[in-house]
Amino acid sequence: MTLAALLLCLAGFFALSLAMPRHHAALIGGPPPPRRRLLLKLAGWLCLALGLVASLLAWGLAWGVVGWLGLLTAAAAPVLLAQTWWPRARP
Amino acid sequence: MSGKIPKALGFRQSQAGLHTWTGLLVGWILYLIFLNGAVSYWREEITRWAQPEIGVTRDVETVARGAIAHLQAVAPKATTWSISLPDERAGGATATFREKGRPAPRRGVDPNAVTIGPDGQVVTPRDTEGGDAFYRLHFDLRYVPVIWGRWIVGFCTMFMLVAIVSGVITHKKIFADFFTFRPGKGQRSWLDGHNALAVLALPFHAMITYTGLITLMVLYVPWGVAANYPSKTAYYAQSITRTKPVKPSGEAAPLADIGAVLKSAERAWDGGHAGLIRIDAPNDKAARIIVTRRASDTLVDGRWEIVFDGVTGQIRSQVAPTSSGMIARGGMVGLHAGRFAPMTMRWLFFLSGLAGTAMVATGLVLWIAKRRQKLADPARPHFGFRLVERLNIGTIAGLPAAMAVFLWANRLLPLNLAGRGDWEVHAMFIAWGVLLLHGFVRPPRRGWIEQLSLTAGLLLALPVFNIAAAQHGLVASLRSGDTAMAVMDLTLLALGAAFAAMAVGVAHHKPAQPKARRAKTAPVTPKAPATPARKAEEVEA
Repeated sequence: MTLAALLLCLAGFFALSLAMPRHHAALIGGPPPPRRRLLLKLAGWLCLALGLVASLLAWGLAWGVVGWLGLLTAAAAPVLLAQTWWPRARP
Repeated sequence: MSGKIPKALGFRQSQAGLHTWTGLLVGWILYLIFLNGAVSYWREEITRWAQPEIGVTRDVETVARGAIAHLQAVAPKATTWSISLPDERAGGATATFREKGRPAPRRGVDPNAVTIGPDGQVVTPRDTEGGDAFYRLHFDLRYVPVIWGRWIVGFCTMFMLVAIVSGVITHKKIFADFFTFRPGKGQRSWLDGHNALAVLALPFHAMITYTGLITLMVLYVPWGVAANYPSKTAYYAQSITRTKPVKPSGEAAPLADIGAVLKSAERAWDGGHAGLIRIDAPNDKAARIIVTRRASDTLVDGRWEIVFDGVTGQIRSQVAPTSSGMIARGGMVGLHAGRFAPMTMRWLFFLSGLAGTAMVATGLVLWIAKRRQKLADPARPHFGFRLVERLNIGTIAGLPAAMAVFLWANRLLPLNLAGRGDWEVHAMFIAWGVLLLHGFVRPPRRGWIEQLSLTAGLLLALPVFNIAAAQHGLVASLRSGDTAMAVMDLTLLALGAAFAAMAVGVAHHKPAQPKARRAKTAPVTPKAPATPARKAEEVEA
């Protein structure tokens, strides 16, 4: 369940980063169409919310929130690194 | 920032100035606090690593029985026995006793205390503070009276809180730049890195700083207590009451079975664990067994106690945290220290702590990176610039090296050296002093490379030494299933590799060109490159 929570947070942040014009342009090319942007944002926030649910299931009410915040940090860092080095690694 | 002061500063500019100077003034101490705090999440594991003689405890009951057998043999008529039990993370138990008219020594080693190994037998581990050395350094500092240390740490923590709030206000594009890191752009990269380390772990930074102040709130804000209690002693007497010792009846009676008592305590706490056993008037009809709950059991750091009849083993009374104020405070202390944290969460705490350490380090380096271009004569920087630059080397690279020296001293100092535990700590501070000095006498670039390489070498060589010279190396630990020991060695290797990457990064960096290399894995990043252009420097820092 902890792993599920981490993966959900990772997916959520990745979707949210793609919804941002700068990162969309770097990875996919061009600004995101408004509809896709909205969908990415919704999906991103939904994944983060589900990550919270998974954390609560894994650790219980009091520790779940703490753990979720920790996972958010742990998930945002690889997304940041990916957004930094992935576009550069591509031809 | 050091130039002319504009006539009217905007709100954000004023916050930027506040952020820069609150951060800089106490930055080096904050780095020490953050680094040692992060490391202290492994306090028990480091102590175990530092005392490889003890081994891993698998069955607490065996240890408790062994401790009582020892105490029966050496002090059957003592007024009190105490046994601190190990948890899954700690090594052995400590058993000690007090006799009438002989109080515990106020400081130094308790001659009555022995360590009980996993098999219930007495073991003599090497004299070391282990993880406690870093833990105490985190809030007491060293070589200053404890109360001074705590005031200094509290003062710096308050600055940290100001720096966090003003930093968030100063950050222009906290959401737009959320996933942004632009390497190879000099000052820009340092700012990006500083921002990312701060923003991504912001919940942790804010929580840890605030709860850190709460842990010592009675010291820092004494007036609530002063207004409501006649004296501090009276306050502590009410808030941290101790079960009063019993008077022996003089009539002998056999002690209740400790295994049954521990099981009964576990039931009463819904599966909680005993952390401390105190036995008053052992082998007397009036004997009492007081069992205190493990601190790592619950989020709320507080006193859970069950008093048992020492002969029948029946529960006499129970104490649990009840006052909502104490629970709120206990919850915050528990959150700060992470004593409750399961393993995954402990890693998250540790990594967030390292992120905080790196945040402070990048902030300190950024101060230099921003000002380097502004220097009137780059060959002869002004005093403040030189001071900060040199202190950065001896602290950011030097302190981790000194902490590694502590671990080396733990392995190398002769076992029979008088005051061995103290000398481990002295070795750490002597090393740090030398490295601070080294930072001032070497050219900065060489200083960074040499100190980062030294840190990397010391960390990487430790696990190798453990395999070669001690019987508790990585291979032996893995074979015997001693995970904590193995993971500690592996973590030292990973940290060593990170410092090696930083040293290589600085060595390959060409100061003339604005092309910085930045070690990806590095928790702390090396020296700043010269930057071609500075834009909007008033606002961002």
